Amino acid sequence: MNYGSLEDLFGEAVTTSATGKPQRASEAPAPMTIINAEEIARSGARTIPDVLNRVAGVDVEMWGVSGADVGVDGYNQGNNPRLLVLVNGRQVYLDHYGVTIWSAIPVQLAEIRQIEVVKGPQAALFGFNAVSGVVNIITYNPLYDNVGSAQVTVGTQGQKEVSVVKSVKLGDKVGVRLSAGGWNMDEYGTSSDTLVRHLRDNQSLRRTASLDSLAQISPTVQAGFEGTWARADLFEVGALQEPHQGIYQTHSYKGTVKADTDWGLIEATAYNNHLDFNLHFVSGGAPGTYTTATDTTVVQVQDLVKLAPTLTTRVAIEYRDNSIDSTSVKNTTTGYQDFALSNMYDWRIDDTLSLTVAGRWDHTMLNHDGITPVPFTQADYERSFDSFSYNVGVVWRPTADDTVTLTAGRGIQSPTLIELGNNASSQPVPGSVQITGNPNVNPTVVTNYEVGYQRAVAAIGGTAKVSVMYQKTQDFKAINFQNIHFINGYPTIFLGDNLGRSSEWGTEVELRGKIGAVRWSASWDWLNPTDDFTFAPGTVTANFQKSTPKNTVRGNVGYDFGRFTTDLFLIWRSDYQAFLTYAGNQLYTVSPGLTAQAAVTYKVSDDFSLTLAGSNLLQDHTQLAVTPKAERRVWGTATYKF
Amino acid sequence: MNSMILKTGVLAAALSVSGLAGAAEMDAKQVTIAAKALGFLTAKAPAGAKVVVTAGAAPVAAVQAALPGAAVAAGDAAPGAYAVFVSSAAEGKKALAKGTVTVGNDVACVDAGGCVIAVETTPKVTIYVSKAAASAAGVEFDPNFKMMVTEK
Repeated sequence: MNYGSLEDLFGEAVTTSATGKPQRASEAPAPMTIINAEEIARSGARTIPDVLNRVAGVDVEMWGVSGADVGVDGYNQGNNPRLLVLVNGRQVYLDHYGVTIWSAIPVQLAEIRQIEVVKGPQAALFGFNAVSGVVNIITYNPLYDNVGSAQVTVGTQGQKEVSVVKSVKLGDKVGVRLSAGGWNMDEYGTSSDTLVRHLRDNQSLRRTASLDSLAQISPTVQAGFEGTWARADLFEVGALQEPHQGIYQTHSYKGTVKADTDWGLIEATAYNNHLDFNLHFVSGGAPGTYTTATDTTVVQVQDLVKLAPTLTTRVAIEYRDNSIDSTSVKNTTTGYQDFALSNMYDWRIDDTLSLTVAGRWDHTMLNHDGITPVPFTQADYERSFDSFSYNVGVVWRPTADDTVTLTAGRGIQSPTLIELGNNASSQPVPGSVQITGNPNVNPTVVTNYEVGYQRAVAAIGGTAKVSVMYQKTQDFKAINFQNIHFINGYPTIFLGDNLGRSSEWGTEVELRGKIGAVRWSASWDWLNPTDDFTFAPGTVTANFQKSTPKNTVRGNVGYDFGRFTTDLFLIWRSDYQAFLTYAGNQLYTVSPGLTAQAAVTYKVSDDFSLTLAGSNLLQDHTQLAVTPKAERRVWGTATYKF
Repeated sequence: MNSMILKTGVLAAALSVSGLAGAAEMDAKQVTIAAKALGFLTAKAPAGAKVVVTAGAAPVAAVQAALPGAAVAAGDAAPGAYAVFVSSAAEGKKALAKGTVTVGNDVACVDAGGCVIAVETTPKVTIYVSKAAASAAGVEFDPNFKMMVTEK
């Protein structure tokens, strides 16, 4: 899709992330924020989480200089499995923990056209894990867009970065976009704890490369291929809230064919994601490692049809095959196959009112190949289950300036491969304690209801938005080391166990405007979760009542003059408590307070610019999360466009 | 005094008749949006493509500015050009033919099947496309574009 030309035509951002159908952002029947390339560039942000941190309703926990978890509307934690992250529709979250390793996403900031953040469950369109929201990263199109950028960055704490992006046209019909980049920089060095130092002594490292291509095969048919590779080494916090060093190596292949036919706009996509994962941790004072690999293959076919001038439907089928290698016992895999059917109707009732209804049915079949799973039996892994997700959205525009949006959604958070997998020895000592995945764990179900109101306000040269949401989480999944199950005579601890439910109220207020050359925005989020878990407090590293920052206030101001572009971002989060599994489970108070990021860009010429940027500017050491404090960091970037 | 009232009445009546005959001339923004919409045709305009603007349809200079690669001229509604900007459905029907896209200054022209496209820019950009007229002109639009416009 030619995002740039459509945006230029309609005078606003265009998205497919709400319904699968191209539409204006202002008409999307879902709470959504779109950050465009210009906003990313002038922010001085180094990483995608830095960009997302500016979005109202988004919570970023920065564990290290590049290790981060991103939550939408709360419930953020180590290895947050509630967020679906896509690059041009290909999932980049990793199925072993359902986690996104942001620095392993093989995309340079300079090749991003826009980042679309959809809040609330969007599973009827996107499938599993789109339960708290979706982040869809849209890059420049290799056929329609011409991009050339080279960046070199040098900063404090050993920061060295390079990034290159270039589009190449092979005649009128074929376009290729190549990108590569990487960084080395010191992790936060503020902890004197020997073990923490051991885990983060290695630098944060990132290396990525990608090739994206698109060809116009005929006037009505396009075909594309994408290949990517990435490696990321980082200090982070895992699913048990334990600090560790993760080393991730990924590669992916994706093919797409899109045809405009008499039966509608048909799109077929197939991709494979591979992950090699190496975790370095400290347990009982001794270092340990955990190594495994996962494969995910997805095939999707969708048909988008305008049944009538005011009625569009999307029918889609999807096949998914996920597997994880066992460890330390080798030659065994656990996983699941999933078949899904989904259908969406988007009805423009009149010029002021539209209704969108979407549903998806998933049939999931577990599988286990190799050594007999202990303490379970092969029969336990022959389980299958069905799940249903939906989205309903009503958009009412009573005047040209006012928009009211009502949405409801039900999303399915699939069991992760770690939660399902089996790693037990084939011949354990009878009666010995087994720690294993659980083939009987149920998916978590998240249901969300939201009402939003947006008004264009001429006095501020922008918009005012307010929304209220209520969300329920059922069959919450986690690891409970205190909860011993007896399976076929073995005392067993499940790596995936259903442990109750939680509910949450939230509200969001945002003002955004531009007066002359001054751009500004301000927002306030309030979140109030209530847990109803089945475990004793402290036995599981989940306590969202305490670990969710209840109030977050953001402010952003920018001023452009002459050849200069300036940007200042401030964020204040109220105190909260978070677990750190380190010498036992313990809640620690986190006081992030007010933090600041700023950037100044000087345009030397049309092709060449220099940027000076910094983060955590208000204090020498800032507590961004439960992990060691972050230092003030400053860096300079030279950008050449060609 | 009576003569002035009479003249004013005649002028008002003339303006009223003129209003019934056709909508106002497209403004520069409408012309720009219409020109961008033409860029979503699957068959692109060749360099130097002939574009005709009929009286009262749009300012010729604005059309030339919006389509810098085209040869734009004032003229009558007739087939043969790549695009004809028209001021009424009747003109649109006269110009509409295989290979000629008609652009109306009023949605009524699209409703009547005389124009392939018409645009509104207030309160927001809205593009209307006549499926019948597009078929008569033998043209196809980008499928994503079609999803975002109001087809009649």
